[in-house]
Amino acid sequence: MRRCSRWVALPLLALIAIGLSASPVGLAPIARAAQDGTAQSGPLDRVILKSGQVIVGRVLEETATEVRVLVMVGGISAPTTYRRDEVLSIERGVVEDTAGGSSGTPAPSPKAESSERATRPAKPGAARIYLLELRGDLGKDISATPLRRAMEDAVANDPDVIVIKMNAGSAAPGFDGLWAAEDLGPIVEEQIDAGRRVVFWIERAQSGAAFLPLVSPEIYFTSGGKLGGVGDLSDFDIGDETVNLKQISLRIGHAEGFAITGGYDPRLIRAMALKEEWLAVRFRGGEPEYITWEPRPEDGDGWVVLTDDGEGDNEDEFSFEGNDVLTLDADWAFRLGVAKGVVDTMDDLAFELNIGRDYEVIEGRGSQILKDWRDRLDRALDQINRIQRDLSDRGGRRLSESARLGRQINLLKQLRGILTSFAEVLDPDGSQRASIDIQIEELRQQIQRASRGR
Amino acid sequence: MVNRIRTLILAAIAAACLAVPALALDKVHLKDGRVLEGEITREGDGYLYITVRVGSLQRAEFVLMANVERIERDVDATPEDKDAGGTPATPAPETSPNRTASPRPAPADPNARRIAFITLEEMVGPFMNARALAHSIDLLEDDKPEIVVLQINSGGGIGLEVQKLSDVIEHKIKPKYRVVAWVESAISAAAMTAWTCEEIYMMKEGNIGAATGYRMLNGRAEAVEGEELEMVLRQMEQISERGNHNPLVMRAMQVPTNLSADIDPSTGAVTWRNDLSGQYIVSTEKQILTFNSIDAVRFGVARAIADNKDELARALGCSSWVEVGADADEYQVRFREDVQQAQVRAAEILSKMQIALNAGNVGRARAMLGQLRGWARRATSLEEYGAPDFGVPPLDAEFFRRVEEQLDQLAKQRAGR
Repeated sequence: MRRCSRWVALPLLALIAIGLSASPVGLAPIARAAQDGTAQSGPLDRVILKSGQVIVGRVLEETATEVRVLVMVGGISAPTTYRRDEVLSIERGVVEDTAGGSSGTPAPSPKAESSERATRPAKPGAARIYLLELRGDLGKDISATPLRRAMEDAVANDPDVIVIKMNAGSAAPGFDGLWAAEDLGPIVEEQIDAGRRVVFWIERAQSGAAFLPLVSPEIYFTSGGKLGGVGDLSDFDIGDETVNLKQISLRIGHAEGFAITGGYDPRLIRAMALKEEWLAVRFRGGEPEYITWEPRPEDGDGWVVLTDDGEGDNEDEFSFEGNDVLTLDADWAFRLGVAKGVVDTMDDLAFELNIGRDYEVIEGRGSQILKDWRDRLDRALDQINRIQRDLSDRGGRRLSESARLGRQINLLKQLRGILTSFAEVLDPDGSQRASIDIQIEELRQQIQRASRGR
Repeated sequence: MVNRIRTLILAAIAAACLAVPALALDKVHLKDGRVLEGEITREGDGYLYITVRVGSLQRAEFVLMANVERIERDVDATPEDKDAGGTPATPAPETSPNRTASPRPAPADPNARRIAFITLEEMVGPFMNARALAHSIDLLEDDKPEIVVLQINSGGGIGLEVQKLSDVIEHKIKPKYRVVAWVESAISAAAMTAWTCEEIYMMKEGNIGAATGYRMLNGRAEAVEGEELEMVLRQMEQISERGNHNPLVMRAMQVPTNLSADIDPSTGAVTWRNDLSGQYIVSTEKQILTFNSIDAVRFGVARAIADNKDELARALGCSSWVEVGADADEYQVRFREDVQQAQVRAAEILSKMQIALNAGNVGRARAMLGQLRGWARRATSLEEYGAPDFGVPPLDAEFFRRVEEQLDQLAKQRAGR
């Protein structure tokens, strides 16, 4: 069954209007601005929110409950709706339009904007954003050592904000990627606990990677962003029903800890992980309100079923595409308060972070550290394959028996060295290296026997 | 850099004064006297999040409603109000908020409460071990702590160790010290151990539960059942009594059981029911119970959430405190490192010993056995449990006697040839 298909009462649009607070509603700023045909010239308006956020743009419409503003950021305009009770004051025609966003000229593409950013010198005192790109799989490409080094580099650059842009999954598929995230979570939490602002920006956070961003209270999505892919926990089976329940329970307990750490509702975790879990939401005063059963008449109206029990008619035709389990797209992440905003460019992100137009993206080494680790690990895996081929190759027949055995010992030592270099992902408990040591010992005994037999 | 920061701060202050003449603030008055000022961003039944501003930084603070005295919403706080000596929203901790921060130096305050932290981590039995814990407690003697905090992070392990650990806590720690379990993760045997403590506190990401006993046979799990299960259930009823916890709760952690609760809205007192008739369904016959930190506190299993030592000390009612007993925890850390290394090495040595025996090299096998003795001495839990994950049997006196005997026989056979 597709998500959103079960409306209990309120239509979607009404729900959005009620549900969203002072955060921008517009999710596709550039396109919508053009469609609206609202471009005008002249000085812009300033809208001051009670949160302290200052919005520059053109007030399009005011009602008793809402203020609609064509927001101008870095030359991009977007119609955005704010709740009236969030607005402190409106000052009309007080800001000179220097960005040209309202002059009818087309808004720049993200690429053009990006090059504008690169050429525009940051003003003294501009906010400093450290951008760290997490790409690949947790537990393989992204493990504790490179992430720690990358975060150390970030801290050394003394940024105002560390933005971790994520396009990642995990080496262990599905929910059990959780354990890889548990190794990495504390590295990020350490910085947040130290008072640093760490923001996750999600393109893809899949499997174990879905849990990691939850340690931060600030998550943003790209418009195509997805977080989830952990809905296989109901299928957990190690041969005993009661033990399965235990294993599922402890895993949920661990995963809920991620959500609680970042300030997210732990009920989302169960809905993301378990097919049989109902989760319905409605919005009251802009905040999501949840129930974990199928909405009943006595529960009132306005409920949207996010996940059903996946039983009978409710069973999805295709796993992960319906509403048996929850995968957060940008729209729902935003509505449920998991994402603070949906942005596709650094300018938009900076705006959402209340940094404004004057910021500097720090060219740190973090992303390179992670890339180097990935590259070296790939090379190491290739080497391991080569060594294993060489070990099974009896081509050393031209060699004497002891020379052949000696060659094998050398290959095993090389293998051991590689495992030591990447121990945290290839041999965390040292058992593989111990096994190699035993093989080496066996080969040495063979050499001794061979030399005695001569 | 200093200039840049100063510029930013001045700009922020100027912006605040010019653009926002009166900030709308929420004030959360805590029972310990602190006042958190900021914006309440999220509220649940038993908790709230308040975003507190410190300079240009914002930080979401998690607060349990149980710790809240009262809330003032949308208070107009002018800058003058703030200057007039409002309680700092997030008082700077005297030590790093990092939980693993080095022990805090003794403060000048002679009345500071003395707290010892002992970390209990990894597999119950080999690593989280009663004898090792007892030794750590012995090391505390000279430090004279008032409170011993058992900082637990374990996914469980060998059920046999639970009673031993519980006995150490009950008979060796409780008579001398106030003992507290501080849980990052207490699963299975670790949860059963923590249950001995009356006072349980949770880290924010903490979890406690999933105490179903089972064994692995040929790669398949098999839950403990029958008489063996009855024994474990009875054992945990007794341990529940030690910790003054309702045994129904532990039972729902051990076997699929209906469990619900009523919470008295005025006193917060929790009444447990072994059916689903209560106000809150806590677990069902299709579940094994694990609490997250919020629910553990909400249902009175844990007393509060504390994410670092300062928060825990405050939750324990210690306005001034000093960390003592570093030796006791250092012993635990060293013990775990030794066990970790010993498990791998013991497995390796046993294999090498076999290779030596296959080659008829009794002398080398004896040398290996000597090494094995050394590791067993360093990591004493190997005597009880060996290394279950590495196929190493318990390295007790009987094991060494039998291997010595076999080596002697082999040596005689070789000498007789």
